[in-house]
Amino acid sequence: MNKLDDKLQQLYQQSKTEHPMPEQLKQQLLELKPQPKTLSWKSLWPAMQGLAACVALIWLAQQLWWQPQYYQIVLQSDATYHQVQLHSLAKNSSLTDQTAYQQRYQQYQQARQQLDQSNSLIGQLRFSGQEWQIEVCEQLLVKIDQQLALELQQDKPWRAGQWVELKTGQQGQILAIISGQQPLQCRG
Amino acid sequence: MLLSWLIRRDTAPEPDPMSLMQSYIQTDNPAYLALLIHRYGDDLYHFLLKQTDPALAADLSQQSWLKVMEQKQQFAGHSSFKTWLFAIGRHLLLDEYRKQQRWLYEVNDDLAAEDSSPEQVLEQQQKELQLQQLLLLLPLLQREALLLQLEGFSLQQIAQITVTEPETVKSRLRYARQALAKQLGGHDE
Repeated sequence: MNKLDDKLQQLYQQSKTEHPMPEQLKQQLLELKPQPKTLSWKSLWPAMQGLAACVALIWLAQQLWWQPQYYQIVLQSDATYHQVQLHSLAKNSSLTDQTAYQQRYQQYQQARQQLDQSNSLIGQLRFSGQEWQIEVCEQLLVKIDQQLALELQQDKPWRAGQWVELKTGQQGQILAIISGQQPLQCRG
Repeated sequence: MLLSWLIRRDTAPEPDPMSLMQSYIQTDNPAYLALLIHRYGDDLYHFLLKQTDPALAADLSQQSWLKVMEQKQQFAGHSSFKTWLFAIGRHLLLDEYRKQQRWLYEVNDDLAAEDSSPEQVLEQQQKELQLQQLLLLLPLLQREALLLQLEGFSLQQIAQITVTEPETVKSRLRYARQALAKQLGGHDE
């Protein structure tokens, strides 16, 4: 250590001895207590982000879980109509012919991309209290289950009494339901 | 009681500051903190006092220890407790400087104190050089580096406290020494 360092160290130690922390300050420090933390948006922000992420994950998991995999058409007998069809989307693994239903669903998804090649029927919408139905000239009644109805009316909500055009694929699946006009007459 | 037991330095070896802090973190017992205040309170206060006035030094000391209490969980033990404490104190001091606009961070590190005309100051004090007067001749960054070294911190620790590279600290210390050597009559080197 050279003379400068010695001199500086000597001055420094002298200064420290001459200027200790005031006794009053020392007492204040010993009695110091941290202020109680107040909740602020800033402090809650990470928790809120975490919560939002959890909600998003739960929603995503739910969406994936409920993602329909089968398109099912059940024909029902009815005295009033020539034919009654119940269209539904399901994930039910107990279906007897899963492969066929699954293929139909895949075809349904693919066919929805090519609506111009679809068949078309004009009908009137009504709501039974449990499901949406489309009556086509008193000959055909198409019942649509809740899940499929939700998927089909993503763009525009339906209203009962509305005339619609029913776009169907080669397998008879409903590809889309769009606004239509009342037909001049029904064929017999 | 714990405090009285802990501060009986004549009969027991001094507790390691790191374990004191760890104990304080784990138990939240103010007696551990009190011991740290006893040990480092004067050092921190003096470091702050050499760079500001007594009232602000006292205020910043208080704020620093308050931060130790509030942010104790953030003490990771990567540095010594004293290094951490001084880093807190230094940060608060710079905040205060910024508030008062007393100092701009754009201070050129390479500026030695050659332009400070210290001769007149020294003559006025009839060559009774005091540390404070010598330190006032130095730019702030050189002054704090020198103070920290005189306080016993290593280059690495000074770099941690001042959030800079050890090489930069070395350079600041060199300029500070050159300036002071000149004022002390060329006794150095």
